Amino acid sequence: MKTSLNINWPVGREKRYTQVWAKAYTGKSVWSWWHIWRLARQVQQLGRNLQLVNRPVVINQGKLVIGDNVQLISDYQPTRLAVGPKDEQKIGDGTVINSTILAAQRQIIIGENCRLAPFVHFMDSDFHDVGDRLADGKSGPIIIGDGAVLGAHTLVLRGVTIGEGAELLPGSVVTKDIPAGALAGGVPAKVFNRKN
Amino acid sequence: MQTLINDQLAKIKKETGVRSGSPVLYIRLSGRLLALTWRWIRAQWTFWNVKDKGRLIFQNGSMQELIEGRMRMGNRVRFWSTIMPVQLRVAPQAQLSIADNCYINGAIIAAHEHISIGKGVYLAPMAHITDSYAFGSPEADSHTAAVHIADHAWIATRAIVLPGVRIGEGAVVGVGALVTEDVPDRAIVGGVPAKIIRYLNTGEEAKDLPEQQAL
Repeated sequence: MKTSLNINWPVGREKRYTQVWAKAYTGKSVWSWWHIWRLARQVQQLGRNLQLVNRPVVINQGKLVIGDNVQLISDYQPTRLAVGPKDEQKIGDGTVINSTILAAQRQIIIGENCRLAPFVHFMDSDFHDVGDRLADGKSGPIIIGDGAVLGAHTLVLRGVTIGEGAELLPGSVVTKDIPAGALAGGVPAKVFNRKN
Repeated sequence: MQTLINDQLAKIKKETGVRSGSPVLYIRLSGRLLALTWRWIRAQWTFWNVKDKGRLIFQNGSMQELIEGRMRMGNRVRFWSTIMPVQLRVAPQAQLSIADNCYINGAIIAAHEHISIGKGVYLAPMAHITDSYAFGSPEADSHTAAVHIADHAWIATRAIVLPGVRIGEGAVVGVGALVTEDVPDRAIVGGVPAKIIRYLNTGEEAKDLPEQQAL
């Protein structure tokens, strides 16, 4: 069962989708309706022209904002957007997200026109302490600059800022900040060179 | 049972901040107890054929398991499949033993010879633990070595534990690590291949949880 959908939303991005969901009758099948509806009732803000391939899994207890022209693709595995209470996640305009896991305890901000390859995983918290497993672990916001490209199986840890236009090789684990325009990779990720 | 309910009540109070007489508290409590019951029933259904298992085994979400060999489980083991489905493969003549208080969260465990997991071990999503280099292939028999994970270890997201490795007591395997050699007690390892980053201090190591708090 594969459905895809491309809708020009008839509303501004500040409005909630649920107000106009009846107007969105351009879906290709009944399932795309259902996916969009399931997504939109969990999202605080939804931009125009969202493209979905299969249904993402959204667990939103905080604040989740999705910009314009975003593609949420879930073909290898469902894209999972998990937002904890009191926390927020923002996906910028024109970003393509393919089978990614975003687990937010604090804050994840993805810039505009980013490309996230399959199986990328964001964790902005340790979720529990090393010793006391019931205590909250350390956490820090993750910020991805505009136009960054993350290769497949990249894992981004807490408190990391990835600069604009940075490129990460597949399979890297990002533990420290990556400067803008850099090419980085490895476990843990090291910067190889900088583009002009 | 009384302590379990009291503990759940304390947790709800801490999370929501409602006072002790509030009806919200009891609505939430009933919901939690229902969820616990449902997770227990699911675990019983999944591990129906596992004879040697303890009390209070819980399963959240659907997991993928193929248990043809022997499997042993202790008390209060939790299988959580919210981020990724837990995948268990126990080949015929293989043995998988899981001790008390383990928390298996979306991990992949493939046993061809013997994997033993100690008390209070945490396995994070996509942690991959195998005791054979070629699981499922005809050559798998000649490439196996038992894996032993000691008490209170924590294997973080996407770490891979190769055959023949012993992970020490209270050790922490970092995110995305590839463990090729034995990990000493209370060490933190990371990288590909895994190297020792530092050792835990005396106050830092994980302790036994109180019984009900593990839920």
